Amino acid sequence: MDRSRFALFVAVAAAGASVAIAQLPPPQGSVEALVRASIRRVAAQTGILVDPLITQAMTQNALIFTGNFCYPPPAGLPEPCSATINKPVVLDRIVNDYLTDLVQRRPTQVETLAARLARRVGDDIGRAGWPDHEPNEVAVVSVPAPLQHEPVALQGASGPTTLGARARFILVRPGRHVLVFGTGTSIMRQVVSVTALGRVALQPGASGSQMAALVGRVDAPSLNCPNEPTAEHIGPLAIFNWGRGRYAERATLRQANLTAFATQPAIAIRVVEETAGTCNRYCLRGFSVAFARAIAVWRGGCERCGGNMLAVIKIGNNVWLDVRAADRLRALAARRLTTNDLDLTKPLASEIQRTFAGQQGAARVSYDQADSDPALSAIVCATPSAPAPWFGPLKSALCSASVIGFGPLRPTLALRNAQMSCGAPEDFLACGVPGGNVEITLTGSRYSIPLPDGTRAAIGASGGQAMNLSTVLVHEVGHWFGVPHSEVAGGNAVLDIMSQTYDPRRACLSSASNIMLNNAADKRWSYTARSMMGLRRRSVR
Amino acid sequence: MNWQSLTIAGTFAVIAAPVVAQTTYCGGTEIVAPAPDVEHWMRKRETFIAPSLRHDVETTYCREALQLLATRSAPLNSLRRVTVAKINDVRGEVIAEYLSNYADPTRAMRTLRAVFRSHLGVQGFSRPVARSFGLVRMTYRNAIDRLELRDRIFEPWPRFMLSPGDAAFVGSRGGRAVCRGRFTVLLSAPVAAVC
Repeated sequence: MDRSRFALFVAVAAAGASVAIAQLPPPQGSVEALVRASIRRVAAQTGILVDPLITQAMTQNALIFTGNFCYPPPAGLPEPCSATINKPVVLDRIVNDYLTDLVQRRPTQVETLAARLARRVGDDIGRAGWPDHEPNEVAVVSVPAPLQHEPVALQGASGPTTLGARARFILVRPGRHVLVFGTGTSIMRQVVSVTALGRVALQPGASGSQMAALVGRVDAPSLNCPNEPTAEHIGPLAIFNWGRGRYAERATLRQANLTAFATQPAIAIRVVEETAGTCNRYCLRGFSVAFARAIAVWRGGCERCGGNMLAVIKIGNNVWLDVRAADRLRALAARRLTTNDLDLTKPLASEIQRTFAGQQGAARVSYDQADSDPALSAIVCATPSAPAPWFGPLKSALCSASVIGFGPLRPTLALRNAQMSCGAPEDFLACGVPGGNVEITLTGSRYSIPLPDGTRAAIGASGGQAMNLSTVLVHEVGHWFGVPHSEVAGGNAVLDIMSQTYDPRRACLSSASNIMLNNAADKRWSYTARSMMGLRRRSVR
Repeated sequence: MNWQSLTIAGTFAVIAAPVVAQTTYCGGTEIVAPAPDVEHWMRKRETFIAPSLRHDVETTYCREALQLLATRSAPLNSLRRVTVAKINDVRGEVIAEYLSNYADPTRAMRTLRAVFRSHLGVQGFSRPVARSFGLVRMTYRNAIDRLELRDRIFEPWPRFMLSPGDAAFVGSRGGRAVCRGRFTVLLSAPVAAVC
C-alpha cells in the first residue's frame, strides 16, 4: 500500500465502510508510471524535457483526477481512466498540450493536468472540489542547437538525474540549477538561475565552474514496497487516533500531542567524526546528503506531522531547506508573496495540487542546499523577520553561522571505527535511538557515496561488505521518528527497510512502517519505542 | 493432592527421569547452556542440525553470554544492566530466532551475538552475515527407518541443515536399502531430495 492509498485506507477504515477492490481507482504507482511514460514520449517528439519535480507535480495532479473520477461510470458511458490515463494517444495529447502551454504561452495561471483529463471525458474537475487552474511557477531554459544532440542531466546533490536527449527546451522550477550536457569525460556544465515564468537561453560555449558542482537538491526517492501483502492492522499496527485526530480534535490539542520531531521546524545535527580521518570532506558531504534524503523519505510519509516540521536541516556545515520554503522565499523576492505566506502549514494553491488528498505532510519532500545558493542566502539575509517558525533558524544558520532557535532536539551523527553503543562492528552497522543519536561504523563496511558530478567516492574498509548508505540512514532515521523494527510490529508486518538486519532485497518502505511513523508522531499512542526497551505498550492507568 | 496422585506423580517421575535433560551451565556460572533449546527447536521444526553447527551454536552462545556479563562496564556499552536472569530469560528466543533465520534463506542472517543483544533490548541495525550451512528438504515416498547420509546414520528427518557440497544418501528399512540418491547442498536456497 503506497501513501495515497494509505490515506484512502484510513479514510475507509475510519468510516467503517467496505469498498470493493474493483471500484478503487488505479494504484498510485501505475498512474505515476503512465504519466512518466507519456512525458518521455512527448519529450521525444517535442524536445521538451522536464525537471523530475515538475514530473512529480504532474503525476500527483493526475492522481487527483484518477482518485476522483476513475470509478465505474453509469451504463453506456466510457470508464474515465480507460478513456484517458490508460489510453497513450489521448494522454500524450493532453500532456503535450500542457507542456506546450508552459513553454510557449507561459500563462500566469495554467489549466491543470487533472482539469484537462476531466474535460476530456466531458466532466469538470471542479465537481470534485479542485481548482481547474494553478499558478504557473515553471521556468523555461532554451537549449542552443549545438547542445541539442547531447544527453542532458540535472545535477542533484546525490548525482545527476538524466532528463533525456534532443532537448530544445528544459522546464525547471525557479532557482539555481546545474545542467550537465554530454556523457563520460566529454561533459559541459551549464549553471542557470531562473525565476518563475522566466525564460533563459543557454550559451553554447559557457561552462560552469567546479564550484557549481556543489549546488544540489535532494529528492526523496519512492521506496514503496512492491506487491506488498496486506498486514493485519492490530496492536501497534492499528491506526491510532486518525479519525478523531483529523476531524474532531482542536488543532491546538492535536499540535500539543505531536512528538517533538513532528513539530520542530528546524534541526541541527552535530556530526562527530571518530574515524581518524577516514571520512574526509567528500565523505562528510556524502553523509550530509544521504541524511537529508533519509529525513525527506520519512517526512513525506508523516501525514499527521506539522506542516513546518523539519523545514530546515543543518548537518555539519550544510543547510538544507524544504523546496517549498525555498520556492516561497524566491517568490518573496519577486514580490509575489509576503512574509506572511512563508508558514508552510498554510499551503499555497500550487502546492495543494501536488499533495496527496490535500494532506500537508503526505507528499514527497525535497530539500535544496541553501548554503550553496548565494541568491537564496541573500534573500534570507535581507529579510528582517518572518512569522514562519523555520525562518529564524534558517537565518541564523545562513547569515550568522550560528544555530539559534533550532529547538530542543539536537541529535548527533557519530561516525565510528570501533565499538558502538549497540555493539561491535562485526555485529551491527549502525545504532539509532528514538529521538536521539545515530552511530554508524565504517569498520567492515564499504559505502559508495554519490557525488554531485555523477562520480562516486568509496569510503570505509576497502575489503568490507558493500552497503548502501541510503538504506542504512533511512533505517536509522526511522528509529529517530520512533519507528521500531518490523519484527516487533506484529500483525504480519512486512519485513522492509526497518527489518533488524540489513537486506538489500528489503530496502523498501512498507505501509506498516508508514502507519508506525504516523502512530509514533502522536504522544498518546498506546505504544512507545524506546532505547533498550524495543516497542512497549504503555501501562494503562 | 491426595496420596494416590502423589504416588502416580512419583511413578511418572521415576519413568520420566532418564529422559529429562539435566540442566547444564556455561563455564561454571548460572547461565543455562542452550542444548535443550536447540533440541527443542530441532523437534519442533523437524529439522536435523549438523553436529558441527549445533556445537558451534552451543559454544558460541555460552561464550557470548559470558562476554556480555564480563563487559558490562565497558565504555559505550548499552547493556550495563544485563543480569544472569535476563540472559536466561531470553535464551529460548535467541536460539529459536537464530536457527529459524538459518533455516530460511529468504531472510537475512545475522550473528548470534547480534540476535542475543537484540533480545536483550539493543536497537541496532544488524550486519548481514553469510550462512555456512544449507537446508535440505527430504520427501519420503518409501517408509524407511534410517537414512545414511554422507556415511553417517540418521533418523528420517524431514529437513537437514548440512554443510555445502555433494552428498549421497541411502534410505533403508529393516536393514534393506529402499532408496538412494544424490544432492548438492547449497547455501543460497533449500535443496529438495526424494527417497
